[in-house]
Amino acid sequence: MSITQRRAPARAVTGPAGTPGAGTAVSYQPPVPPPPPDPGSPYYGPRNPIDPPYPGPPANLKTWSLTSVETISATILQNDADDSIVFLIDPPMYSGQLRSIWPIPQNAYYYVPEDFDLLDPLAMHSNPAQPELIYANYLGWYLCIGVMTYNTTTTGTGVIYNATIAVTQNNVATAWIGQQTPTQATFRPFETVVELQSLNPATGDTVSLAGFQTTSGSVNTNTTAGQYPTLNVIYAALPSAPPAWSTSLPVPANTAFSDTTQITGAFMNTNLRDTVNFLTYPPICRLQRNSSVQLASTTFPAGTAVPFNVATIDNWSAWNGTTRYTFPKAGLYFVYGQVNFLNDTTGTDRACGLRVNGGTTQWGSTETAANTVLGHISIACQMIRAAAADYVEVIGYSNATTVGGITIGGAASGTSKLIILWLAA
Amino acid sequence: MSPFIAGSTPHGTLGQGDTFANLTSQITSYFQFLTAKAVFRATQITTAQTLTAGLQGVNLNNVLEDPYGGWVHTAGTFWWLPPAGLSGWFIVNGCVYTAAPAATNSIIPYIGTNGSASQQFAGSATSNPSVSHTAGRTVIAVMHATGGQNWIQLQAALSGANLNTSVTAGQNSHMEICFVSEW
Repeated sequence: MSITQRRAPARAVTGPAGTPGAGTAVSYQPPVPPPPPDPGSPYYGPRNPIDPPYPGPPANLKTWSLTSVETISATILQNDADDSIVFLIDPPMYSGQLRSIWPIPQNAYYYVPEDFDLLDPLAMHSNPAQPELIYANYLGWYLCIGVMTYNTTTTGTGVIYNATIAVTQNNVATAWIGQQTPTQATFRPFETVVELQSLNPATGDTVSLAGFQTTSGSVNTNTTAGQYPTLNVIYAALPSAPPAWSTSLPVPANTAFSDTTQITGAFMNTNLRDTVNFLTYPPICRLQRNSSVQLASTTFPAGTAVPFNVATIDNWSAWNGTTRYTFPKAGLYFVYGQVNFLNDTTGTDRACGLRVNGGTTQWGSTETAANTVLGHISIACQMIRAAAADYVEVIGYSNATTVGGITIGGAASGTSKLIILWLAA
Repeated sequence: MSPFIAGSTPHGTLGQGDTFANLTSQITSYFQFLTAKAVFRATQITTAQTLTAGLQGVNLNNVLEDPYGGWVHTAGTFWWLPPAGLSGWFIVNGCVYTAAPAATNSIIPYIGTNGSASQQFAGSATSNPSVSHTAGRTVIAVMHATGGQNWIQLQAALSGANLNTSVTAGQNSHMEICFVSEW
C-alpha cells in the first residue's frame, strides 16, 4: 500500500519536533516485507518470523534454587527461553533510505527524512507527518549507523559537509556529529556517522539522520541507487543491568542438556538466566572528549591516543579514565572511533585509527586538511577480535604545524568519541 | 511442556515425550547461535591490487576468521556468501586503503551484493588529493543477505588514473561481517 504524504520543508535540528509545513507531495513507500525465514535452517531452526505477540526485552528471569527441587514449567520456558530467543534473534531494528531529492540548506543541521523502509517490522518509522523521526518501542541503548550522501562533485574548497545523528531525548534535541570533511576539487561528499544512544519510548525519544554543509546555498541529497542517504537503528543492550548480573558473568558456554547428567539449579542459572543476561546486556561503551586538548603533530603513520574524559555509558566498567577501553570479555567487538580536529589550516593531513594493545594502528579515513574554519572529523571502524584484557585506543594523526600540536575535542556534540559493542564470541 | 526436576536432585523422567534433546535443539542451539554468531573478517595484505577506473571488487587475500565457511575466492571473485539456510541482516564494515592518491583521483568505497542496486551501500568518499601518503575510506552498511544466494563484497569505485591499494600493515583494506538479526 502506498501512502501519499506531504513532506515538510527542511527542518533544522534545534529543538523538539515541530509542525511540518506544506511541501511537495511524494510517494511514501511502504516497508519492504521481511523475507521469509529459511525453512529447516541448520543454524537457528525453522521458526515463524515472530511468535505473536512480540515479547520485548527479557524480564523476570528465574533464578533457580541450588538446594531445592523445583519444577520447570512451560510458562517459565516460554518467558525465559523462547521469548528471549525471539527478542535476541529479531531485535528491534530499523533500516531506511531517502531515495528522492531532499535539499539540505547551509550552515545548520537539517533532518533527513527516509522515504523507503528496507526493514521496519516493529513500525519504528510510524509518523508519516514527520518521516525523519524513528521511534523506539523499547527502552534501551541503540546502535545508530548513518550515511549522508550529497549530490555534488564540484564544490571548490573551503566548505565542509558532515553526517549527523540527531536524537530527541525527553524533548531535548541534540545533533551528534559524525564524519565531517572539507571539500576539494572533484570531492564527493559522502559522510558516515555512528552513535550509541539511549532511547525511551515513554518520553517519545526519536533518532534521525541529519546533514550539515557550508556552501552558499542548498545542496541536494544523492538519488543514485547504491548512494542513498541511509539510517540504521539496532537495539544494542538493556538500559541497565538486569538482576543477578555482575561483571564476572562469563561469555555463555551453552552446555547442552544431557540425558545422562542431572539438571541442577546451577545448570539452569548458567545456561538460561546468565546466558540471557549476558546477551541482552553485553559490553557496550560510549566515550567522549568534551573539552579541547592538543594532540602532537606527527609524521604518518605515527599518531596520538585520544584522552577521553566522559563516559556516556560503560556498562562493564572497562574504561580506564583516559585513553583505553579494556575489553572485559573475549569476543568480536564493533569498534568505532572519531577524532574531531578543530579549525587549523596548517599541515595537509588528518586521519583517525584504532590501536589494540599499543601495536600497529589500523588507520581508517584519511582526509586532506583543506581550508576550513570549522575543522573536520575523521573516523575509523573495525570489528576487532579481542581477548579479555586486550585494550583499544582511538588514534588521531595530523601534520599540522601549529606549535604544541593540533587541538581536538571542543563542543560536546562535535566530540571525539569511541563506541564499543560486543557482537559475538 | 511437562515439568521436570531442576534442583540438585537427579531429574528422573521428563515425561510426555519430551527429551533433553528437545531442549537442546529448542533452547541451547539457539543460544549457541546467538553467542557465536556468523562472522567473517579478512584483509588485503599480501599483494597490492591496481584499481582501475570504475567499480570493482577489492581482492581481500588474508582471511582472519570464517567459521561458517562463506569465503569464495576464485578468479574475479573475492566475496563472502552466507551458507544456505543462513539468511538475515548483517552489519558489514569495510575500508578501502590505497597508495597516495593523485589530485584527479576520487574513490568511493562500497559494500556490494548481487541482491539489487538498492542493496549496494556507499561509504565515506574522499578524493584525498593533497594527502602525501596512503589513504583510507570507511564504509559501514547494514544489509540483508539470503543464504546461498547473496554474496557480500568490499568494492571500490575509482575515477581518475589507476591507483594501487596499500598492503602495509595498518594501512590496508579490510572487511568484517557479523549477523545481527533474522528479520
